[in-house]
Amino acid sequence: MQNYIYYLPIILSAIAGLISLLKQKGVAEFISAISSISVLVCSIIIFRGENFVNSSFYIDYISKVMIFVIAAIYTATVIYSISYVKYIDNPLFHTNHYFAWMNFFALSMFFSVETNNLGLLWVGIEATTVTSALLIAIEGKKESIEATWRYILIVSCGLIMSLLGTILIYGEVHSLDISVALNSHASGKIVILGILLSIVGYGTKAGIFPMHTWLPDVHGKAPSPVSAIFSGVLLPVALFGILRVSNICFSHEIRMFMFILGFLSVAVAALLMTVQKFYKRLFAYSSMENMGIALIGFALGGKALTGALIVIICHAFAKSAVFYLSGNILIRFKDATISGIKGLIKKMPFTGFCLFFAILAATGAPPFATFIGEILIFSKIISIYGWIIALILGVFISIAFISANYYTGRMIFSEKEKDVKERKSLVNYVPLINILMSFFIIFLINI
Amino acid sequence: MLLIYSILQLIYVILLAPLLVGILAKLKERLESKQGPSIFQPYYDIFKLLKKESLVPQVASPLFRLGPYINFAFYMLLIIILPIITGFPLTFGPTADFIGGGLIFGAAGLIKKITALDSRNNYSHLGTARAASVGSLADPMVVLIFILCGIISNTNNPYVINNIFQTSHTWFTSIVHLFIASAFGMIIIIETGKLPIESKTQAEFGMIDQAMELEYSGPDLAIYKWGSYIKHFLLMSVFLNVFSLPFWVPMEGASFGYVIIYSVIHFIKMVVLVTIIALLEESISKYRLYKIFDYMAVAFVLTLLGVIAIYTTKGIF
Amino acid sequence: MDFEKLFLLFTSFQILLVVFIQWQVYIKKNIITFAISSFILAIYLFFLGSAKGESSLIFIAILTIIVRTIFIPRFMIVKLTKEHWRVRESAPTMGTASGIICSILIVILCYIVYTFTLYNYLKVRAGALPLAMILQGLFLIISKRNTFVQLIGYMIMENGVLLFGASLFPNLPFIFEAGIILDLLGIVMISGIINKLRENYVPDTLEEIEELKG
Repeated sequence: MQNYIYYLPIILSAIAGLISLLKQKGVAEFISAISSISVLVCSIIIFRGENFVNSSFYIDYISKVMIFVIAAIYTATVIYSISYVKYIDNPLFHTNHYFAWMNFFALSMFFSVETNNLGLLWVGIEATTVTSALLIAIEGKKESIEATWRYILIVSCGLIMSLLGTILIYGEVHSLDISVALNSHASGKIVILGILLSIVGYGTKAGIFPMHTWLPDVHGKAPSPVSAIFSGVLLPVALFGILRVSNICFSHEIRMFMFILGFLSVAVAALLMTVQKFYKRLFAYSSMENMGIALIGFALGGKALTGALIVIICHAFAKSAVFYLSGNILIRFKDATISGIKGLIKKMPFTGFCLFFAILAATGAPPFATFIGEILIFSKIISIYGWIIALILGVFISIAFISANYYTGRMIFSEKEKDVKERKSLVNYVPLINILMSFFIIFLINI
Repeated sequence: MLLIYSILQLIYVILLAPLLVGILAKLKERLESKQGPSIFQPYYDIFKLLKKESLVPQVASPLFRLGPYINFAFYMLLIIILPIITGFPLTFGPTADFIGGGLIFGAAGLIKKITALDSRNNYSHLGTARAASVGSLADPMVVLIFILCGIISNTNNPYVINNIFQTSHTWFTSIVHLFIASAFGMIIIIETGKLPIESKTQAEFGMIDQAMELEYSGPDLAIYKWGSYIKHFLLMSVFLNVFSLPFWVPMEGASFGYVIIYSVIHFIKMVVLVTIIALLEESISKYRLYKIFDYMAVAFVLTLLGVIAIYTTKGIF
Repeated sequence: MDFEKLFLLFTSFQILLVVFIQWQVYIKKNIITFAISSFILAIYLFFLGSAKGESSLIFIAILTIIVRTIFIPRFMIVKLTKEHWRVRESAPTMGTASGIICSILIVILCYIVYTFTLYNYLKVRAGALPLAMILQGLFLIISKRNTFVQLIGYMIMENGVLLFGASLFPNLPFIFEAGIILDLLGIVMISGIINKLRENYVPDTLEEIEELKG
């Protein structure tokens, strides 16, 4: 009895996907909703169960968390899509194909996190590319098609690097089973090279610098539920791939590589967020920054690993909420630019109110769990690398926080332009100096 | 004895070079179901031109009249250096090695270009510009190929290279040999001006080499034409004797009779090569001028692949 | 039979075919050259499998012939427009000659880096060449704008990985190659649909789409 529960998410999504191909009205939506809710129930049962390893499945704590997150966001997206797809003008294909692809996409993700074979992990992540490609292109416009093609090409080329890395790992470990590889204590140069290549490959899928270039294009152009499920689950599943592979030989070079890549992702995302003109791209860069933070957490291990998992879970829920709300905004305003949206709190009060809290949660404000996760990661950085690196990371995260909330706040709370009534005076610099001191004082205290 | 061989080789090439070009012209016409000129037509042309008078432009310098003879002299030097009917060095063999041979080819071409510029004719300038751009990329490739041959044989002597390819089965069937033979084959088509690089028409867009001789007449033109026939013969001989069919070449210690027999065999090998070139010329059309550089890039790729192959097989780095 | 010499011969020929694809402008010729390259790869795998007694390699060879030599090229030629002998790459990123030279310089660079690093562990000198083929495929994707040529570049990368894995690690489980073939099929199908739409909007001009910058 215990074994069959692990097959259920895969089988249920597959059946739902196949049934959604039928052309009757409403069948696809209904069956997808039923399957997603039942998968959610299964995932809660799996989460409360114990770890399980056999020849086909390798379920440990991290897998259980990922299954739960995938199921939850899958359910939310399906339910939101039922209403959203009515508002897409000129869809490229019929909406029941949309639900079919969505179900197959969830199937491939469940397959990747449950399997016990490095080769099948690669196959699963490659399958997520194939099944999600057409979901982006449903709007049929020139920019959507271009974004889809960029996504397919960049991610597939990255995954080939990962395939090469897996071959090299196999060359030293002589087995593709994850359970065998994790216990093998391999430590040669070929394994390290293979792991580094796999990190680069799966990192392309996860939106890590410098392979992130497809991320803002896709999130900007895909319909909102698809952006939500990408940010919420697809990027973490790719990070899960990195985590599995890097645990085979967690040497110093690999940790350093992951840390540097994560750090640079946070930095680049934060800096690019300050100059955005379209709000969906802004939220996409915020996802990239959170994935960078999670990668730093994976690199450091211990408490930081817990922190990273907390960030992933909370970011999934928060960012998907942000994208659903921005979908509402796009439908009503028909404008994708930040400067075109003003005064949401008056025109769409419920959306504006929820968006305010959602973007606070996604960028890591207390009391939301993202903040707790970031604190855990910070404490581990301070204990390993010292204060300066942690502070620089904190500066970048603050830049991201301020940009995201400033632009969103402007969208929600702004009104018509008023006259500027400020007088210039030297005394106005005193508050500025006090603000800067509240940051630099940490160097004087310097624990 | 070696001196006799040298004189024999000189007479052999000078006399038979126009015949080869005549055979090529006749074959091309026959392949088009036409009757074609007689195979001795180049001889008739040369004799006709020798009887006419030379007209020299007023603005030309004394180099204009000397050019064809210097060009011919360079080619005569090359005849007695390169391996044509023998596989052992003759009297003047040590004058220049393989790379020196490549550079002398370049020098002969240089004289032709300088005298063409001297005549101030528009078409001659055009031809010189084109030949110079193509030559500046093709000549280093030739030198690179010869350096590779030197690495294979640990010498720079074309005769030793011939002997190695003739006797050693592994070197003849090695991948390095395949690559540099293909590269040199591509370069021959560039240097001798065959399709798809150049077409022998009277129209301006096909002319590269032809344009440089436009201002000449009389005996000067005859010597230039003869020189270019000898250039064809020499390049094709090097290709056959060193790269593609280095068999039956008499090596050190062969008898006089065998050398004479080999002269005949050599001419037959050249006729086979000329047939293949005629078939090639009849099947394709001329490239746009800028596509010639893509063609040369591919020849360069073949040479570089030969470099990689030799490091891989010889195991040196 | 000397495996290393055979390996060098086949891989050099593959690299030469990739350079030829870099040279060609007409798409149909590129597709046919790719089919020939896959066929030669399949023959090499067949010989390797029968000489070393690995039945999985023979099966992979047959699968390669069916999928990459027959099915995918036919699918791509059908998806080209009606006058498929005429379609060509109209807006390359860099000129043809520079592209060819860059391609071969990538091969040389890869060989040099390999000789200093991986050669000490893998002990096969010619193992650099499949890796060079992967980088050449990547360069093909960068230097051309047409959808089908980029797809061919991606498949050349996969051919390179297959060559590398099959020659240097002969016990690779079959499930790998089956996964590669399946994903290749999926990607090519999707690309057929994408290309039909992309060719109406193909970015011939060099201006970038405003909404996809930054």
